[in-house]
Amino acid sequence: MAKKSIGTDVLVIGGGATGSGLALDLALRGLRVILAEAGGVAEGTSGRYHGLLHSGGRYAVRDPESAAECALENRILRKIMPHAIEDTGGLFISLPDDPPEYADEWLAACHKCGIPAEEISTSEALRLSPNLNRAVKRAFWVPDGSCDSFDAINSLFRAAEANGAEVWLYSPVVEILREGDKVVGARVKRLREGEEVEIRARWVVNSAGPWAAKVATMAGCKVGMKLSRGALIAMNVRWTHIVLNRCRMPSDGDILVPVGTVSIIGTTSVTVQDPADTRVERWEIEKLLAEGDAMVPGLAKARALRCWAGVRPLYEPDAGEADGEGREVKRTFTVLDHEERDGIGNFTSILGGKFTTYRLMAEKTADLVCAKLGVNTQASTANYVLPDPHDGIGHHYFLGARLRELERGPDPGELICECEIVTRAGIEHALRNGSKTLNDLRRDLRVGMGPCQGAFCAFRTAAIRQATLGITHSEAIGDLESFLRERWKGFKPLLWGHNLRQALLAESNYRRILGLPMPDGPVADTAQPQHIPQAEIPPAPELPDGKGKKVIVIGMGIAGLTAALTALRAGAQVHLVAGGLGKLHISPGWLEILDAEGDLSDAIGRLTSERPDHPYALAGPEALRDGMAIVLEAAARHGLEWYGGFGQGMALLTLAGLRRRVALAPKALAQSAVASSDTLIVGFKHSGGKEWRDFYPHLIAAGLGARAVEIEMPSPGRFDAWPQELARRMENPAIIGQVAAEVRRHLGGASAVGFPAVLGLYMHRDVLARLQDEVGVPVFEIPTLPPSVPGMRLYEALRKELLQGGAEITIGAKVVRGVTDGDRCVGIAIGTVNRERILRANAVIMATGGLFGGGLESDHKGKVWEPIFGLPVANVMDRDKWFGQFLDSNGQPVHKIGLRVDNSMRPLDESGGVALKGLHLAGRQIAGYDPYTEGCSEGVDIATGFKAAVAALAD
Amino acid sequence: MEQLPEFTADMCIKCNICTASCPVAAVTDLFPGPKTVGPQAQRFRKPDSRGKGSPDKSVDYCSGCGVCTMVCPHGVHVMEMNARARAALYDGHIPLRNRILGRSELLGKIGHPVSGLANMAMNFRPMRILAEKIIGIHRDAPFPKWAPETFRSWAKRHISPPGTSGKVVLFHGCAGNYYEPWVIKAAVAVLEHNGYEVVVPQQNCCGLPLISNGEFDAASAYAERNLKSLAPYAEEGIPIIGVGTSCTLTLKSDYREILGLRTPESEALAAATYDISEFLLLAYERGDLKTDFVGFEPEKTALYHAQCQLRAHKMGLPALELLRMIPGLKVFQSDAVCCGIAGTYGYKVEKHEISMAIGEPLFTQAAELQPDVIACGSETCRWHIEANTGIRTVHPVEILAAAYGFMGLGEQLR
Ligand SMILES: Cc1cc2nc3c(=O)[nH]c(=O)nc-3n(C[C@H](O)[C@H](O)[C@H](O)COP(=O)(O)OP(=O)(O)OC[C@H]3O[C@@H](n4cnc5c(N)ncnc54)[C@H](O)[C@@H]3O)c2cc1C
Ligand code: SF4
Ligand code: SF4
Repeated sequence: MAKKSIGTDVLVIGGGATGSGLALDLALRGLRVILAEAGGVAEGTSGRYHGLLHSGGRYAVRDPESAAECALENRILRKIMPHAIEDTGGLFISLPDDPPEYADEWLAACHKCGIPAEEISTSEALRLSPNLNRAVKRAFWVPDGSCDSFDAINSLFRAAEANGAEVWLYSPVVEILREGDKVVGARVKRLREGEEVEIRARWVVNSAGPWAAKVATMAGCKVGMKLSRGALIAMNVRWTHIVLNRCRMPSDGDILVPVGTVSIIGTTSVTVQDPADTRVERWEIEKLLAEGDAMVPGLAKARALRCWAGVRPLYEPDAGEADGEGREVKRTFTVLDHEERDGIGNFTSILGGKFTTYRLMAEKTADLVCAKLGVNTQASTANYVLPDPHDGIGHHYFLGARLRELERGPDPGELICECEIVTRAGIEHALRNGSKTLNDLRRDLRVGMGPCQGAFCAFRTAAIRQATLGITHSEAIGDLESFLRERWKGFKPLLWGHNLRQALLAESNYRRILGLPMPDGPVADTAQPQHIPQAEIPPAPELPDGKGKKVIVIGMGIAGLTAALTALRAGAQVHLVAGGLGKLHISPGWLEILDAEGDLSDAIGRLTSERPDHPYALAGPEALRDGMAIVLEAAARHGLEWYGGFGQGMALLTLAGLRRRVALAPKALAQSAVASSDTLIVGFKHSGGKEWRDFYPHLIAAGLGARAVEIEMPSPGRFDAWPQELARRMENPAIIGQVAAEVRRHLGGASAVGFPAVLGLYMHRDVLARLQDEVGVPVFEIPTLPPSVPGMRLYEALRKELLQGGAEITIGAKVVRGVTDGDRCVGIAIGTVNRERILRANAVIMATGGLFGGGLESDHKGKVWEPIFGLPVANVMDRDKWFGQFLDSNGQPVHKIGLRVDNSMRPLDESGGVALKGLHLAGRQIAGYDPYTEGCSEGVDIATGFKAAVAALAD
Repeated sequence: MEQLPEFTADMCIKCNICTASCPVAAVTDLFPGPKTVGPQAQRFRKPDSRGKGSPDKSVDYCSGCGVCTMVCPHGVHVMEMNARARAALYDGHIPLRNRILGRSELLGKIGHPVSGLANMAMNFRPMRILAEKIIGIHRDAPFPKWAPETFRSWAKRHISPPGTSGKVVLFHGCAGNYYEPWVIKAAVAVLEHNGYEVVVPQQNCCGLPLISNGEFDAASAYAERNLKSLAPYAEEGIPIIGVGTSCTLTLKSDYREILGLRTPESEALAAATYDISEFLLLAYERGDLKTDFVGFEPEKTALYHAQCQLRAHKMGLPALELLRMIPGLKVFQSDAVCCGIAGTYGYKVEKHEISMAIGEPLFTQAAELQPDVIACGSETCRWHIEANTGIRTVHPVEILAAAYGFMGLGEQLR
């Protein structure tokens, strides 16, 4: 490392709220300041706090000094950083379990500390926070707010820099330099620049938060600290728009703060030794949810988006006499004059405090430093309005701001991260201004922080990054994978219920649509261009006679559709009932049977003899072929030509330019097997010149070593186009003509042309034929992000086939329970908007999906249940073991959870007997397989759907 | 937790199934789709960001057809969420047009005494062009004709025989009273034929047109009056039967879900309310429905269109099941999810084109099939479909009345 030396008045170590506030304060007093921060913006406790701008109420009873400080600073911060603060207001609420006498004591204490707390009626409290526990006994209003630490610290940095300070990020102090008993500077590693700098300073301040004791040691001073770790959980939506505090002695999980788009429940208090120990333990999650549920009933069942922990940098003057756990140590702050205390000159530490009081802490520290350095300017930070890093105007942060900008701006821009409303322009701007990795972009823009867990935006951002920075395919996908792997750690402890569904959707996107994980070798080698045969549709199977029988099928996924079609073909009367649509809309639209080398039929044979509990083994060898015969034939009648078969699998191209093994696919997707380096990949772009957000031809081409071109999107609208909208536009012959003409201009010697999978929805066959004809070489499709047009085509084909065959289809009716007669299922009850309706049938087939589709439900304690019939669920392991590594090559254990069936697809109870007669199961609900790593998603759905229908008719 | 619709945003996993199914997003660039304006935008909304401060704009293009809520596999009440966001959007600034469209009952009242004149005015082209220019109601949007006699004044003369099967309350709705009394008369005939005594107590407009035009306060006033007069019957266990699916949906759910009126009276009314087809099908399932249909000779064809509001009942297609029982009637099911009018949506000039594009698949199907009648349970849909296909469009209960032999298929019961 190169060495440099540099001089300054004051070196501030640590750029959390305290350090950055201090840098500004000193700079405003005319001193030259360098701030050295080991990490990025808000890497320490300040970026991991609860987000509450304290009214002071929390400390009023036990720590009035802190309370008064908070009350005062609360008023100041609202003035000087309005852009970072949301004026939420706050409530202190007494619930039936809270000691009734505490409320009065508390109120009196508040008034003593100058906190304008005010009792309000409980009905007013319920109006202010409609989800609040209706049993609330008393409620008090306080001037709480919420504060975004990234925005706050960013603007402190900006202000400090504007006043001449230097802010060095990624610059840990590794040694404090002393001459005799005086500190004279420090050695700083500049990680991003790859150099080491010696700073000579007249004074050094240690504001390293929980690391302060370590930093003090570097200077030879011993400082006692109590490191108290606290866990926080961000709930997916704002369950309250006003801060909720329990009116009781501070304890675990008693504050819920609305911050930005989420609400955060916290916190706990665990004494730790290591300031970097930011674990969140399982008991903490359960405790916080339980406590949150007391304030907002139902919270424990709601979606918990992410969890993290921070470490409080509390000062403990004498380790011996600390009174109890971390929360009881005083929350005021302490400025240590090390000359007085330890005889070490020119060195000060600032410890303890709150985010809310950072300014006061900075002021007091700066007062001391200035006095020592003989500077007599006064602090002016209380009147210094900080610049808004988003260049907004000086009003309080407004939740709807991003949405309004998007909706009312001249051009809505492309939404890349839909959950957090981040546009392409924002991402490109950040990439040009220092953001390098996806993780940097997340910190700067909140990309990937929303509820979708990066299932959509992370890939889009990775592709934009690839194009903007001009990096290789493997570098782009590598960074994507490492970003997702890192995020995964935060999600993993919170995967149950709908958040688990979200994770399973993400997995489906990553594995099936994108083809992750990236193979070790170069991508182009994973598949030789293949010649793909047109599929031979197996002969129509023999079916039992279903005449006069009524069959109810629950579920609109491919398993349910297969079962319904089979029963219909057998002559039964079929009623298909579904709470919502199934997974076809988010599937690539091809049919995966097994991810295995060589001949698929042989591989299935081996699999079933090794794993007799695998659904393929239970459904029997014929079921897959027979079920396929029915599905392929029905879809073919609506214009889908099938390729592939039960022989060698096809290696089809994915959206990330990788490959996925597929048994059968409609012609357009199947032809991507021929893709090679002399293929042309065509994408769409807006008139502004940017690619459509759901398909990135350059990235795919980079993976193949092929060429890419973007052509103008057929009639772009005001908002981002969805795949099905483009597909509908492509049905216009004039547009096909234009597209084909453009493509011909760029064709060069390309032997085939790949398009996003939007070549027509209802008239796909015509669009494909016409386009191929006009382009002059084979044309193929590559999946887009969902909704998947090929999936919709298949769904539409099967739906039409059912309707035309006279089946009744009821979508949007939730099945609330099964109707039984003794040990037999005789029908189902659907929950209409105001009453139950009973539907009776000779047999019921349940194909409601697994943990994703809602066929199985789960909760934060790790319980899994089947909601309609209450059937016993097999293979349920402890919740901590549901998932392994991100995209674990062994597959995720959670997939094995499910319902056990016999070889007539009848549900089994724990002892292996038939749990309920007249009921048959199909699809993802069945236990014992992993559709993603085994690559058998549609195969199992179709085989079991067929088998369930046949068995139901034979009943 | 009993949740307001906006909190169901929590369950959205962004799968885009609703986006793929929304009939409005499919035909216009002005609407970014249900997920975007629904659960996604909801994360940025606050109850106090209403009116001018509201960040929404595009949510106004949602027609309220309910397809999104129906197809969402994860329990998100997108349509209901949008309805509430729309109300916030208009807070205090409701355009005159919405005020007019929201007041179907008032319109009915004003027009009725001078029905002849009023009908002329409504069909008078220059007048409609003027209405389009000034208040933004499209000149081609279907306005019904005022009937010479309201249902209520007929009902005053009509004596319902004491039934063998008990009493029922009939909720006729504004359209049934002022514009299409023969539909309600058909319902009365069918119910009486099956042994029910039909009572017609005091009632208001259900309030739905106000709800969909964003006037929640006015709608709540209607709701309160209806609750006052109907809840006592409900509490006595007398079924409240409605003929307009949208009216019954409002009684069953919107008072609670959208207006947030959660009282014992609203619960009782919700629990006692039936759509006429639902009521008759349940009777059939109990073995209480007379199947002495005379049927149709020679065979007739009907194209059944399940209207939007029916979806939200979440009860399947009872009318279709009833129609399929009728001898001599061949029933086809419409493949369109929405006819385009979606309540009063298609009346608005900036949405008319969108509305026509949404209805396109239905109109094409009807043109190819040329059925004897089209059947649909919602009045505005019937007017819109009839105007755009030229095919007689009736309520399913009118087909049942014809099948019992009370009048010919497609005729109006006198
Ligand atoms: C769970 C939890 C919830 C909280 N909630 C609230 C709340 O709601 N409201 C409130 O007001 N307060 C809250 N607090 C307290 C508040 O977060 C902290 O008091 C405050 O953020 C501390 O800021 P800081 O700048 O002192 O420390 P930090 O933010 O930790 O900053 C210290 C910085 O020093 C850097 N550093 C460390 N070593 C070195 C080195 N050798 N060289 C260079 N840099 C170094 C670190 O990277 C870090 O960025 C909470 C605390 C916790 C733990
Ligand atoms: S609202 Fe439902 S269907 Fe729409 S994206 Fe969300 S989860 Fe999917
Ligand atoms: S209610 Fe209808 S128009 Fe509105 S978003 Fe849902 S599907 Fe689209």
